[in-house]
Amino acid sequence: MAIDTLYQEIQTEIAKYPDRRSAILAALRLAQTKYRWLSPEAFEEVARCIDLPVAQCQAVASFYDMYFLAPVGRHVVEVCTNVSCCLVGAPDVVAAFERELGCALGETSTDGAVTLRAVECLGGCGWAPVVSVDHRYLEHFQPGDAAQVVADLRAAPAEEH
Amino acid sequence: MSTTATNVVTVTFDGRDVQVPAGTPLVVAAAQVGVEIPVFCYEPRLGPPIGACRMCLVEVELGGRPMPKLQAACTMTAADGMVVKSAATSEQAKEGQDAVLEFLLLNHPLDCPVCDKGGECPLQDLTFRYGPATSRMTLAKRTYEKPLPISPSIVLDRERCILCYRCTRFSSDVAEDGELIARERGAQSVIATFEERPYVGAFSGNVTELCPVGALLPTPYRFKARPWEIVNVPTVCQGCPTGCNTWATVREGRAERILSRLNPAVDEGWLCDRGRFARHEPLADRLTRPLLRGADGLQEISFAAAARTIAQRLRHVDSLHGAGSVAIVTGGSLTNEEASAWGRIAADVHARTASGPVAAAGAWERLDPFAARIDDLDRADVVVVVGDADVTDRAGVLDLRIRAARRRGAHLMIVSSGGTLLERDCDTFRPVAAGTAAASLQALVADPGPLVGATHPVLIVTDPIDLGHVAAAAHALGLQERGGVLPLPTGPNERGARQAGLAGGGDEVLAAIESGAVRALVLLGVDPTADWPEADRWQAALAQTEHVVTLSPFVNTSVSWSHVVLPQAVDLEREGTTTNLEGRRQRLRAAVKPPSGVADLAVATAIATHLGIEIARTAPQESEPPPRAKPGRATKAPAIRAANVTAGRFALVAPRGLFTGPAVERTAALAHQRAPWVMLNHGDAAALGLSEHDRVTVRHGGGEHTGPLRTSRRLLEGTVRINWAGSPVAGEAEVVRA
Ligand code: SF4
Ligand code: SF4
Ligand code: FES
Ligand code: FES
Repeated sequence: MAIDTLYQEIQTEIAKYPDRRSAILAALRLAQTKYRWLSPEAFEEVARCIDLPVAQCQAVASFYDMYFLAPVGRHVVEVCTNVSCCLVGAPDVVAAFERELGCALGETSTDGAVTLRAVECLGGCGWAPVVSVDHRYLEHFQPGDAAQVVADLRAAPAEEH
Repeated sequence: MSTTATNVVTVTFDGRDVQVPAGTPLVVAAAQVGVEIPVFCYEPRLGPPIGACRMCLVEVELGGRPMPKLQAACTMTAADGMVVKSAATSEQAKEGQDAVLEFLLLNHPLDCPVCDKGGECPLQDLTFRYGPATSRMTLAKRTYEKPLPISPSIVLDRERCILCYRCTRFSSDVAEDGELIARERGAQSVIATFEERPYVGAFSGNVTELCPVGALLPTPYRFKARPWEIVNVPTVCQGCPTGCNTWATVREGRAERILSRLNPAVDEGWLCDRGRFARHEPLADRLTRPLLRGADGLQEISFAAAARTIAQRLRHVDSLHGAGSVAIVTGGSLTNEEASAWGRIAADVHARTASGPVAAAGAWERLDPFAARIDDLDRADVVVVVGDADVTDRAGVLDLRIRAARRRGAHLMIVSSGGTLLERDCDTFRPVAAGTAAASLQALVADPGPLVGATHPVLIVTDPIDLGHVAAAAHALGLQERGGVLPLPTGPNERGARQAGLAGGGDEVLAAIESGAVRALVLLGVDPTADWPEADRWQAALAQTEHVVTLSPFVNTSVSWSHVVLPQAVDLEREGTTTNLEGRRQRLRAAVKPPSGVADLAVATAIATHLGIEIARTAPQESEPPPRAKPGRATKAPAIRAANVTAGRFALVAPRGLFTGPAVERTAALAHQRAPWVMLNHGDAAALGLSEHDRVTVRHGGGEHTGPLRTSRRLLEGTVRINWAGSPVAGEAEVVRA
């Protein structure tokens, strides 16, 4: 049964820590891998598996950029809009992606191929601006690079998150 | 802050020296020499300080060297030779504090004139005392949808929130329900519940008192009063035998709000939502005049006539039919003074008495040699809770003290059929079949687990079992010499009623009525046809009794079988004392007048006077719990009846919970806390093809119960747990999809 696989995987994570609370991040990641985003139902399932109040799971997830609290497309493009990246043109990168995808920040292109998100510092400030495409970093990103990235993603199969 | 007395340090605050144990937070140390350091987030009852609001900034010098930045006086602890300057003497600290206040107010709406907190608001007070009088903020403030109900009893105004995290810390670290959270991050953070679902938790209302601004407010008090129009009357909650201390906020003769009144030995300043929100008055269906049944049914009569009639009938029945033909029964809602008057009446008319539903489960004196006090939990190294009922079902705020004991390091052991509130984070969980608390105690004696070597164990039994079992186990476990047992009486003042001469069990009185021995029955604020087990038998019993006298605040089912009805006061209308579960006598003060205008004690005294008994007026006296009784000889535990569950049916667990009873039923703000649910073991649910939230019906001896399904991995297989609000039931049940 599918539900119990997730349950078992989460138990494995819990066993790594003295306090099961510490396994929330991993448990949420497992659920996101399974369902692609963290729906209210997914939160409830995680909460039951880890035996913590469901609101606590959501509180943690909403703190981090890496969890998707809304459905996402087959691919996810995340533009760092934190200070360093902003100073060297992140807003232009965002604008370029919005143009190419025909959707605004936080939305998914109408063909369901790509979700465009803004995220906090990706830890690559030295190579700013940084864009993360399905969790792989593209550094010194220029607005002009967006068209090719989008074309490639539209042609590529779905990625795991 | 635990530290040894030898480790004392000297700190200087604004030129004044103070000696405190090392590790004392600076805010606390400063207060000892009269230096006020303002705080918002600091609240020691919520656990370690978190330094969220920055209101407490001070300048600190250590070892002759100034610390490079201003320090938060709540998280910084005292060290020897520290020199601390508050905003009163330090320019830098003053500047920092001004900046923090200006920052906290950036997006604060400053709608004090329409804010219920206005006049009793720390943000308002501290801004007035310390803050800059002006703001440089000229941009539009951030707005949110408001007010946002986070439950039917609490409203949230996110614009006013200063993100001090007091409320979320209470939810996650004190009540441990984890329902109230901060969602998102940084400037986007908002206080919220999961998917905006109502905050369901027995202690949710405490966040409205913890919130230092008008962000979390009790809905029933919205726009009800301004602080200068109210009087706060100190009294004691009568929702359960914990006896939490309260303030009743009265405006123009109406009690509009209940607040906590810190008593460290009893409540630590917490209240449960029953005590806080259950409506005490006024109720639309309150009885205000005595009623006498005549040819045309119940007719109003005067108090004097009612007292005379009752006295005459009791005397008549006693002299005609002899001892035991009168029965006087209470549920523990009387004051000690009322109980004592009725106790003397009972003795005079040779009445059988009862102070609770079951004799064997109410003989609390059996536990006197092992008596523990509530604050024994603060010293406990092991806490054992035995029974299927939740602690909150019997004594609300005790649950928080047990959790605090566990967080402090006490070993928490739960022995139950599972699905109880305390077991999620307990150290030892012993699953046992439903309804086997007595046998579990014997098993505990045979295998005491964490009790071996414990120096201060506290035992709590939540199920209403024969106390002979508890006494025998306590004796065998040596609890007369270490730790003790915390008794959980059924009614708020059951202990007081027993001591006043109304001891006994409803079960024995019921049997006597059925045998025809009882001709007159007096029901003192209890409705056995609704609140006690065997409701059907009680109805028949009332129907066959010649004289039934009922004391009740409102029309209840017993009234329809009564011949004389006396209006009764509710908690906030009572003057006198009440005895809590540990035997502490506390003072009740009448915050408002009973709608009848006549005090219950005056009526009882009038009845006594007609019988020739003189009731002396005495001033109500408070007292500490009595010293522990001398240990008695070991007693043999009563025999245990084993119950078997028919194949295909479920063992039923249906404890009568905290959110049941007439006052709660009359409170709209508690409807969400009473919403019915059904709990099944995870595997049982799957076998029935049921999943979480499916609507499920449970059919049992007392009727039907339908609600959404909750699954549990700890609830024993073959067991169904429900939050049944009717007359207590047990036995077995059928479970089907609704
Ligand atoms: S709602 Fe009140 S208690 Fe909660 S964080 Fe905001 S200000 Fe603090
Ligand atoms: S725990 Fe009992 S006494 Fe305390 S507030 Fe709740 S009902 Fe009242
Ligand atoms: S600010 Fe963009 S990677 Fe650090
Ligand atoms: S009281 Fe010290 S930071 Fe809030």
